[in-house]
Amino acid sequence: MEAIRTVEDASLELEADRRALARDPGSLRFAQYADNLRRCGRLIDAAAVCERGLGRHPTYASGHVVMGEIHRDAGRLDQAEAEWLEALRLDPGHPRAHVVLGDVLLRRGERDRAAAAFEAALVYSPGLPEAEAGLFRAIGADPKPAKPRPQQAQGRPPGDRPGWLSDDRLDELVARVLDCACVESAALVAGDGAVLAGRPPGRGGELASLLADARKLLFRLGAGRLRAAVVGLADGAGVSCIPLGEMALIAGFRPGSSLDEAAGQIENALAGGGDDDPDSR
Amino acid sequence: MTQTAASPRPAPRRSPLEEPLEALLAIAGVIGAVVATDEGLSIAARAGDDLDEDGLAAAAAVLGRLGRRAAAASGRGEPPMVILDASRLSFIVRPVPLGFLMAVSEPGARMDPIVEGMAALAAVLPSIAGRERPGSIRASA
Repeated sequence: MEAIRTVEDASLELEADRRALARDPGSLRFAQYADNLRRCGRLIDAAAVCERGLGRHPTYASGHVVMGEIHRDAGRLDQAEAEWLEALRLDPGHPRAHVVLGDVLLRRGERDRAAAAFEAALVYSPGLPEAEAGLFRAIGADPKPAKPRPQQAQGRPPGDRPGWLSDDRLDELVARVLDCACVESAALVAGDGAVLAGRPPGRGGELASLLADARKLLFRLGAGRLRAAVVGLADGAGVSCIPLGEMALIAGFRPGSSLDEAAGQIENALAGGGDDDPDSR
Repeated sequence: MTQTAASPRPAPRRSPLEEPLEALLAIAGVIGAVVATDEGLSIAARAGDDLDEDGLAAAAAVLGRLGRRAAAASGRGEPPMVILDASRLSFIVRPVPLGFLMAVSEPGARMDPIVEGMAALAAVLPSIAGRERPGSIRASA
């Protein structure tokens, strides 16, 4: 989502870009200048600046992303897609290239390809709002929507932090999860493995780091967003890692627990935090 | 051999493990199953047209190794099972003497029957692998 800019802001930025490029014509600043021209609707000027820049820097992925956006704004969607695919060939981890490509694919009704593009953006830039929004638009109209799991509370998109879970309520969430009959230990850990609340089973930080590998694997398989990773253990117990935005909930199950019951109880605990707080709805 | 170019190609030889994999596909929500080596090579697979069997075999090995790391991090040894539950597909993997057994299910499928079915299959896989004509087995539900 583009920030709101005044005409005055835009003029100042354009002038600064123009001067910078005049001082150093070989600068990569051409992409920013072209993008600002595009945002002002000066598509012909934007295309000229971008073409000149790409002539000097043909392997600059961001330049191809901007060129694609210029084509898109001019209604040349095939050329736009070609530029973005070139950007991704040069830099497969360019989140903006994935997002703009996903937007156009979605516009064409190619929902599966669009979802894959947004998911790729999220792999390289977890939590990117445009990618999150695009993914849910792509998946939301899926002709085969997921069937609800028994007892599972609805409303939380997979992998997202529950809306009610503010930073001052982390201990409360852990307590709610520990109240589940199937759960014997629980903790919230940050992406770097630091324990934010509770006590994880085993080395919780390492378990959390495995989520990143799991997400990448799911992306490669086209399987969608990770809801949970569960490791069943030899003694009949288990450990569940549930991504919650930038955090992860790690819960240890009691031996012999039903996986379906445990998943349902934990989802209810995650959803239930807003019950006594109408403002959070 | 007198086979001519115009003769129909002989049907590919099915692995004796493919028939028992059908038992997993009979469980509600299961849309694919594969037995793969530790290196991710497919030994036997049953999957719909939407699923790439070689890709699934490779994924089974990666997931199985991921599970081993997770089990080590949990401090409790070899995992009997790893589940990745995602918005479009879920993957359930367990180590077997041949490598890994993996089931693929639709989102929202109940996990307990699948896990039980895989345990039943894992218990008999080694003997089936050694037989030329496998008998039918039924997964417990």
